[in-house]
Formats: sequence, C-alpha cells, structure tokens
Amino acid sequence: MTRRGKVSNPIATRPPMALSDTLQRPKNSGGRPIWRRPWIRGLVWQALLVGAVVWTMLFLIGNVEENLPRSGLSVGFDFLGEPTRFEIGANYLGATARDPVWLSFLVGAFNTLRVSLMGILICTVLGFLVALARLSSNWLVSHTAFLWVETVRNIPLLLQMLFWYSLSTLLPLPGDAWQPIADVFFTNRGIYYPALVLEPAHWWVLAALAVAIAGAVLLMIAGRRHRDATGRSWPTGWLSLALILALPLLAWLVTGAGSEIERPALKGYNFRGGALVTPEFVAVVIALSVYQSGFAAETIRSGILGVKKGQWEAARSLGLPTRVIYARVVMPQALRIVVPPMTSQYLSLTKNSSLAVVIGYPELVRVTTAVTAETGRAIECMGIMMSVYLCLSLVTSAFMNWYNRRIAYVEK
Amino acid sequence: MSLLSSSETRPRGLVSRILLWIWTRLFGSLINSVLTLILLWIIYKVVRSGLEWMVFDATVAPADIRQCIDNGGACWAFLQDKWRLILFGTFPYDLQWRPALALTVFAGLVIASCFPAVWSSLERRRWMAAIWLFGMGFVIVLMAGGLGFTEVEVRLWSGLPLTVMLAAVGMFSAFFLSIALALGRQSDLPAIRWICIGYIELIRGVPLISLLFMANIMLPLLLPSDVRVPNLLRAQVAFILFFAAYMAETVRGGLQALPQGQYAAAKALGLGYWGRMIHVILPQALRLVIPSMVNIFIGGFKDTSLVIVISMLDLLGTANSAKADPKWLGLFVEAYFFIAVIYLFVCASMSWYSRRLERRLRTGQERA
Repeated sequence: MTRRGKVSNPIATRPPMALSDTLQRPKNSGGRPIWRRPWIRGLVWQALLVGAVVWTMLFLIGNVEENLPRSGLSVGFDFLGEPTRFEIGANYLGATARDPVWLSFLVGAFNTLRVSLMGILICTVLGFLVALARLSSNWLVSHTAFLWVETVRNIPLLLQMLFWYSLSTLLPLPGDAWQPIADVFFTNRGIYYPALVLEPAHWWVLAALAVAIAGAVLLMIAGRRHRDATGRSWPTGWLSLALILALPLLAWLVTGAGSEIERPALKGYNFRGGALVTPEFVAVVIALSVYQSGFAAETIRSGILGVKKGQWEAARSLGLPTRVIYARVVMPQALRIVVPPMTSQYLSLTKNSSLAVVIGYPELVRVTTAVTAETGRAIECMGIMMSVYLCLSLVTSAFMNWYNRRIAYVEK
Repeated sequence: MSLLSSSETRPRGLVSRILLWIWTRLFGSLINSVLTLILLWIIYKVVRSGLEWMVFDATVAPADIRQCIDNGGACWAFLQDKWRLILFGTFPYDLQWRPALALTVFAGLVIASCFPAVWSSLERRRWMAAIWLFGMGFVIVLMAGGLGFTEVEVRLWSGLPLTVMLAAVGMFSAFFLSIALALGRQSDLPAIRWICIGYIELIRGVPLISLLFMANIMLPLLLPSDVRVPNLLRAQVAFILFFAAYMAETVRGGLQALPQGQYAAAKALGLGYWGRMIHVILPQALRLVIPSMVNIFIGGFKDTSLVIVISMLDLLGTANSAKADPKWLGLFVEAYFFIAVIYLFVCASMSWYSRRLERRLRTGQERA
C-alpha cells in the first residue's frame, strides 16, 4: 500500500528533504519496517506470481480430470499406434487410412517443412531481387518495387492463399486440360507433368551428388586456407561446379540408370502416370513466398543500406567494378546485418504455413485437427503440434545463433 | 552523373530539367534504358488488362451471373448485391447504418489521435481521454443497442466492425499486458523473469492458428463444465495473449535502447521501482518503440482474418459467405478484390504513418 502512495506522488512535488533523507539512509536499512525491505518485497512478489501460476495450473488440471471421464476419454498416447481412419491425400510417405496415427503426424510435419522450405527459397530469391530493384537508381524500377512491397505485405496472407486456391478451381477439368507446354497439364485437380521412372540405380546417382557436394565444400575450405596462406586463389567455384556436375553424371553412366520418362495420359476422367502437384500446394507456396518476399526485401534492403558509405567509397577507389563491390565488399557485410531478422522471418514463414489448414493442405495443423476430430484426444494432439513448432523454432534459433557468432565482427 | 547534377551545369528551364530528370533517373545507362523499356511494356500490359477487367468488360447491375460470364470482365453486379453483406455480415439489415456510423466515429478518433499536437499538453491529453471515453461509449451503444436503440446480440456482429473490434480491443489490451511482460523479463527477481521469458518464448514459438484452435477445442476441457465462453471472447483472448508476447519483445527493445544513465538517475532521485518505471523509463522507452508498435498493429489487423478457422465471420468470413451464394456461384475475385482494397488501404496508411514517425524520431534524435 505504501508503494502505491509513492507511485502517485509526482516527482516534482516530492519535498527535497525527503530526497536527501533517502539518499543518506544506509543501503541495508535495518531501521525500515520489515515489509519495506527490498529483498522481502522481491520474495513476496515472486511468491505471489508463482502461486498464481501454480494455482491456475492446478485449476485447469482439476477441470480436465473432471471433464474427461464425463466425455468417456482418457489421457495417454496409446492412440498414436492405432489406424488413422482417414485419408491424408497425396503424400510422399505414402501414408493411407490404415497406417498408424503417428505416421500421419509425420506426414503433416513433413508437409509443413516442404512448403516452408519451398517458400523460404522462393521468397529469398524474390526478396533479394526486389531489394536490389528498390535500391536501383532507376526511378521506375525502384518505385515499382516499392509498390510491390507495399501491396504484397499489406494484404492478409490468408486472403492471398484463398485467392490463389480459388483461382485453381477456375482451371479446366482433366477432360479439356490446359496444356501450355507439351505434356504439362493444368487442371483443377492440379498440375500433371512428366516424371522420371525411379529405379534403384538412381540412388547411386543421388549418393554421388551428395559426395560431390561434400567434396565441393571441402574444396572451398581448402581453397580459403590456401588463399589465406599464399594470397593466391584457386578457381574453386568452377572446380566445385564441375565436380557437382561430373560425379553424378559418371555414376549415372556407370550404373546404367534408366532415363525412362513417364508422361501423364488421360484415362477416363483423370490423368494417370507422371507426377502431380496439387492446387493446394501451389496456392500455399505462391501465397507464402509472395507475401513474405515483401518483408524479406525490406530486410535485405536495410542490410545493404546498413553497410557504411566508406566501404563503398573505399571499394570504388580500389577500382573494383560494381558487381565485384556487391559480391565481395557489400554483401558479406550486409549479411551480418540481415541474418538475424531474416531468421525470424523464416521462422514466421514456417509458422505462417499453418494457414494452409484453411484450404485443406495436409500440413501439421490440418493433420492435428483431423486426428483430434477422429480420436477426441485434443490435449495430446495439441501438445504434439505445439512441440513440433517449438522444436522447429528452437533448432532454427540455435543454428542462427551459432551462425551469427561465426560471422560476427572480430573487433581488433 | 555527379557532373550533371552539380549546380553549375544544372539547366534552368522547366522542360530541360524534366528532360534531365528523365535522362538520369530512367535512361542513364544501357541497362537502365532496357529495364525502363521492359517495365514500361509490362506496366502497359497490366494496366490495360486491369482496365479491361474493371471497366470495359465489366458488368454492372441490373445483371445476372450469365451476363457477367458473357462479358468476361468484373462482375460489379455481384458486389452491388453483396457489399453490405461483406461489410456488415449478419448485422440486422435495417440497422446497418449503426455499425457504419460506429466505424466512422472510431476512424475519426484514431485519425485525430495520430496528430502529435493533440497530446502535447496535459490539458489536451485530458480532453483526448474524455473524447475517447465518450466516443467509445457511443460506439458501444451503436453496436449493442440500449438507450433507446434496438438491442443487437453480440453474435450478430460480423464483417468489418468485427475485424476492427478484434484488432482494436486486442491491440489495446495486449499493449498493457506486454508492458508487464517486458518489465518482468527485465526484472532482477529470477522467478518473475523466468516465468515471463517462458511465456514469451512459448507463445512466439507457436503459430497464432494453433492458439485459436486451442481456444476452440481445448477450452471446454480446461474450464468447469458449466462455464460457456462465447466464441468471440475466446478469439479475443487468444489474440491478446498472442500479440502481447510479440509487443513485449518490442517494448524490451525500447527498455534496452535507453541509456543506463536514465535508470541510474531515476534511482538516484530515490524513486521506488514503479516510480522509476512509470515516471522516467516507460515514457521514454515507449516513445522509442512507437514505429515498431505500429508495425505490430498492422500485423494484428491482418491476422484478425485467421478467426475464420473457428468459423467466425470477420471481413474475410463474410466475403467467403458472399461467394457461397448459389445465385453468383463461381464468382470470388470481386469479393476478394473488394476486401483486399480495404485491408490494403488500412494497412498501407498505418505503414505510411509508421515510416513518417520513424523519420521524425530519427531527425529528433539527431537534433538532440
């Protein structure tokens, strides 16, 4: 109560006597009444808050214990092993209604990752281009880019997603599919396109690609060491490109992997063969990457603007061409500024991919709600979903913290 | 380019200055010229097809869907039939002037509050507070009825008024919660600090949609069985809890950006914790974060559209119900276009305001 009185006292009307009084008082004032000692107050505040949190928890748990038997439910994760009993739709893991519930969750998480990675890739490229356009000295280019940014990020993502999804319903039936390129069919059930017939030998090609990428990374590291030691650089870029192209090609030739391509063909009312991208997937990826590209562009732009003018001038006075200035001087420094906010944007894109539930794309939230409706295990399902998102967040921020430490300025 | 723009060679006449501007800003180099020409061509294409859709091939009332399809352009007849449904949803048709007036009053209050001059003195601040209280009372009477107006149930509120209400009430309440959270996160008391950190990180780690689902699916399990919480309140609370965590991080940014001397000086005055915070720290820290706060407001306004997942009829929900009418089956672009323009207008104005504030703040700091 005395504390409240103190708060309402405006500073100005505090008598100077009282001020000097407080200042002269020894820090650990034994003379104060016990409820005015700071450490006692700290303890009381903390006890109050902890008590409130614990009480709320107990209240909620008590209610759950009372409510669950009434609806004939129990708590436990045994339902994860039971059959799903609903179809998830097109998925790479081939899960069906007869597969266990945990596999459905896996499919959901996998699909969330799939759209998010696609979205992250496209929005970064798009955002980078728009950021460069925003910085262009060309008035028309920079203002068009500004218009793009303001438009895409000020229209709700959900509206954009619904728009693209509704647009796909205007596409023709498979019977009279729209065929802009040979063997690629746009229909209201998705886009059908020719696909490679997979054989076991293709795994060798894939393995060769992985080895080539690892080799390229090692080459880069060795190249940097060599440059640091001797001041001369190897053509690492060309060498690794050659490695990445040549090794899988070699593996393909040696293992004699087939290159049979299956084209989609109309059979009855639908297409058979080839591969299919669903309209949901396309709508989600377009909406996510377009929406987020506006934010990404602004982040990248402020990163580039954040590089000190002197760096530009120094690089120019060395006679470096603009392209090299961007690649070797400005971007490496801009990256330091851009990475932290960009990370949180990638995270928010991943979380935003949950909006896909509205148009029925089978990502994590969609699967969770469907399983909840099927089994009634709301608490467990929500728990699983939230922990997946939390894990994604924690892993990403851990990685980015590590990355930030790595590229941070070493002050000399 | 630097040669041309230096003051000695700058041409005097208006026409030559315009020509110089066009030359330097549009065609300066080969790449720039090519870019300009390509972009001009694209803009011409987009504007032409946009005009064709919106004006030349469009259909206005009286018309039915068949004529619209034949004409091929926008079907404004559909919007003319549905715009009141989209804006006010299920609010009683004859009383829809009331939410319209309420929105106007609210918009007027917000716009008036955007001028720093109205907050410049204590007297003016008191006036503003009084006007806000009175205005909001008026808005509530208009929406809910009473005082001689016909009463309207809360569950009938929908469309734009619902969107604005979810956003405004949500942001307003989340603001105060966020200050408490930010102070708690900066507190010296470990239990308080860790509870606040846990809350903020937990909420920021999950999507808003999962909170809405939780409010919808889990709340009946978590509350005593005789308690029934209306849908609107659930969504509103989920909103407040969600945005408070994000705002708290912004407020924390402001608290950390303040020079340590301010904390020390406030302490030296002998002020207690709350005195230091309320009279010294928060007024300065909050002023620093106004632009980022406005950006969170923009996000909040857009994210109100997520309530359609718990089948509430906000602006997006009413647009969806308008497109579901069998009389206009298959039309959706016009409805989405209409609400996109509304969202775009509101958010772009806020974003413009935030940029202006940021510039003012920056120049203010430089001067100091």
